[in-house]
Amino acid sequence: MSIIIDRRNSGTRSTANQDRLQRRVRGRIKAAVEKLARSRSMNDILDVQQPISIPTKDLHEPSFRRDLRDAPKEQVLPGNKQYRRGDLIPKPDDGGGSGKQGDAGGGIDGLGDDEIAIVLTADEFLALLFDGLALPNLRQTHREDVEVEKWRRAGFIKDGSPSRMHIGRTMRTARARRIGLRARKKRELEDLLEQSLVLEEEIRTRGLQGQDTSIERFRLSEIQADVKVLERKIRAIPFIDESDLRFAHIDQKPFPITSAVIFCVMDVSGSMGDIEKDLAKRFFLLLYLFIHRQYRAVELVFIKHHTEASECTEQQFFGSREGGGTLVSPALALVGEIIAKRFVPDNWNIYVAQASDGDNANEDLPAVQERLQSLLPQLRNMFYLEVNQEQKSDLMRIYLDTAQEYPGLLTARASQVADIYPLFRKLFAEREEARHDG
Amino acid sequence: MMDNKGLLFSDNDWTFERIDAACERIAVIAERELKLDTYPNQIEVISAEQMLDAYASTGLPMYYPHWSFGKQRAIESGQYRRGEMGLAYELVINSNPCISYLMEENTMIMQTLVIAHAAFGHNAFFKNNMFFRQWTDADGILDYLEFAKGYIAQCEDQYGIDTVADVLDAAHAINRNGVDRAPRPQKLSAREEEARRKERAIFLEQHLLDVWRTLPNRPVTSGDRNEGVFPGEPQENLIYFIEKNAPHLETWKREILRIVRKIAQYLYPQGQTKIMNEGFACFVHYHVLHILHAQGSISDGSLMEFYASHTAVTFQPDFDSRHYSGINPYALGFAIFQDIKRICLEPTDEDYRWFDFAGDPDWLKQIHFAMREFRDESFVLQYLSPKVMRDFHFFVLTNDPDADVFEVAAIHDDVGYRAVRSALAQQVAESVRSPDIEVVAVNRWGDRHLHLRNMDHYPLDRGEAKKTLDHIRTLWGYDVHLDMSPSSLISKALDR
Repeated sequence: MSIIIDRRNSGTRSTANQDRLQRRVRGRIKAAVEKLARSRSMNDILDVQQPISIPTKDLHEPSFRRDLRDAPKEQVLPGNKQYRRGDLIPKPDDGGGSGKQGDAGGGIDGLGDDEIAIVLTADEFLALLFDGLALPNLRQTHREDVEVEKWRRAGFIKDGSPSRMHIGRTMRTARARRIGLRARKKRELEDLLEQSLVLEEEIRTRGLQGQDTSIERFRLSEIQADVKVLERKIRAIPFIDESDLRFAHIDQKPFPITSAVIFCVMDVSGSMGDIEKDLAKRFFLLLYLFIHRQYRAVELVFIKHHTEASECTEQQFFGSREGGGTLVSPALALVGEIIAKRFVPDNWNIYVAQASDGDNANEDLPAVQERLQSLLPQLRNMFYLEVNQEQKSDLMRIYLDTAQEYPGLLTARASQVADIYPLFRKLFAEREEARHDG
Repeated sequence: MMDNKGLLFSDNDWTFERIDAACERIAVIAERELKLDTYPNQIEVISAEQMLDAYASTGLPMYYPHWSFGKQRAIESGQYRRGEMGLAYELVINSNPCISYLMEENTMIMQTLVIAHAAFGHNAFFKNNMFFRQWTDADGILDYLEFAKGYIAQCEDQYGIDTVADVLDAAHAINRNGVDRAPRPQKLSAREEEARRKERAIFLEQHLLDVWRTLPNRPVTSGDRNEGVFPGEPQENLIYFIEKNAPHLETWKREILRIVRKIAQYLYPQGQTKIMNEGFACFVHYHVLHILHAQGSISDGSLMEFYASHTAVTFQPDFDSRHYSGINPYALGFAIFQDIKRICLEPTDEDYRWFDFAGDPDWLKQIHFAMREFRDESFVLQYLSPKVMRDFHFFVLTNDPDADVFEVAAIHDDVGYRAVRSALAQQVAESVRSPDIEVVAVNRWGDRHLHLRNMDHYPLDRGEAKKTLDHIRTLWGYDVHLDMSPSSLISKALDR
């Protein structure tokens, strides 16, 4: 007797092993994640279905094995064609021969590929990338997002403008009312009709027997009058009544704005080298990822500037290097213009992230301050990262001054990649404090 | 003798009804024609993903979780997705009832082949082969795996996933040295096991092990110390020895060692009988499919498709072929079993000189005897005939690492047969045996180090050995020494 079972829908049972594998190679995965973060473009970074490969040597399982390289050994092979006993066969140069037999010496690991692939979910990816950064706090600080009033349906009401009258609802109410009002009268009517039938029958039998029927006739006429009244009343129930009318109601409710835009502003003048740009990219990337966790859609606008500012693609942004001096205010002005044109602050959460080496023409500083003052009220936050400066630049001083008035402006300095994570931690911690103070 | 029973199927899609019907007819053939004694069958149809799961856990239907299984699965699913590796058509578990997994991708004729091969061939082998009978308990294994999984989950809860993983890592490193090669019959049963586990835990906690009794009942003289070499005889089962004698190992860790050891023991015969097991299963499916065809259960077309799969499975590439990757156990095993039948039915003079059963008309009895009483090494020694050696064109190559050339030591001719056969038997035995490392002494009165010796006649891979020793140290709790150089004395004694 054989039992036959369809097991196909019972799923796989590899999750527990998979979890333990990831625990084991956490360090590796983290390194790979960081590498991805560096090499990918910011928009693609959340699309992490691409597997991460881990060298299997990290997952080596040792055991006692023979080392057959230098041991005298006999080997049986199939497929002899011309050899006779005593023939001597030159060894191939790589000395392979003896290792060809894949026995205990090689093991499964040696034969297999030297890399395995691990696929992370987006959440696992971020958790690793931010390893321990206080994401929950971040969530809280983002709670009081800008909200907009939106119209939405809110049930049915008894009066409203004719254009919002809900026919279906109205007819349904009318029908219910008609049925409700008619029911008792109909029942009475049926009773009366029955009585009149009984009376008519009685009149007829009595008439045949020659008895007096005057009382019955009188009663019958009374009943018939009642029937008429009832019939009239039933007819008088209106098909539709003022009280039946129903109107669809719409109401205004506050909704959080679910889309955000980040302006990435960077100095691309000669003084910003590759290292500085890498720093800036990480900084922008982290911001993007942080902010992306909050909003459904995040747009990125890249603005590069030297003495002039222009909007550009991500490749141009991180790739270009242009000579000349530096003016910051045109970039801020461009941000303001683009906001006015494309991102009405009522509908967008606007963030500005700026990275610079602090280089700016002195005569531009007052203009920068002015621009900041007009820009900041429209923003959720502005982040300013100064890279590779021994001392605070004059530009930084301006930002710090302005930050006194606008706590939404956050500044930081970094000189190497390792600074970026701690800096982030600090940025958001400061932000928390600022909130508490305010 | 064959009535026409009517085609089981005319197109190639399988359904559960067809599988059921095929199964019934095969069962009749297996019982009446091949006289197979089998466990009841439980046949499960699974998807490719599930097959990969099964691969990752050495084919066991249930296993405790460990990262190495995740790794194995990642490797194999990678190869599978890249098209570098095909999945087996079936996978069968030595349990009662005997569980066979069939891949859903198989065509109906493949399902038929696979049922004959696994659910009857392997099944009968599991139930009757002497090795499986002695080393494994098909009745208890499913319960035992359940117990093991539950116990390890409990340990993970109590002591943390990483702590448990450390113990498992160490135990896995020596699990090929955790098998008693001489049988130590012990039945597995989850319920008894749980009861016994509790008893052991209580006992261990109450009693210091004798080895470590530091307060002797009578005054110790210096002479006594030298006398007490422990263990009295070298011990080959490292896990067992550590489980019983490690000075400070927590009870739950000993229990985990025991679980790893028990499962290694259960899997041990599979490596020892690869050629026979596959050979016998091929022999069974080959006969079953022919009988099905003869009785009209399968069409000529189906038989052709069967031949295509069968020859692919039992093909032996030559040593100089691009496809060569060692001796194909399916090919060799099938050839030897077919040859046993031939020696019975159409013996040659040569066969009469080599085999005393040549010409025995009851070939089935000879097949059954061979299937029951041997393992690969002895099977090759006993049954590899000159004919099969000639068919495979076997030859022996000696490799002296200091020489510039290989020497052909023997070929498939009258002077060479015996040399080829014993060389092949030895090669088969060594390929599945881990190096023989034995416990020779424990330093009882000093630093408590554990002394191991390489009893194998090949040198050890030193890097591997060092890492393995690190694992052993974490279990033993004190230093562990290993004499790595091959045991030349033994090597000479073993040389034939």
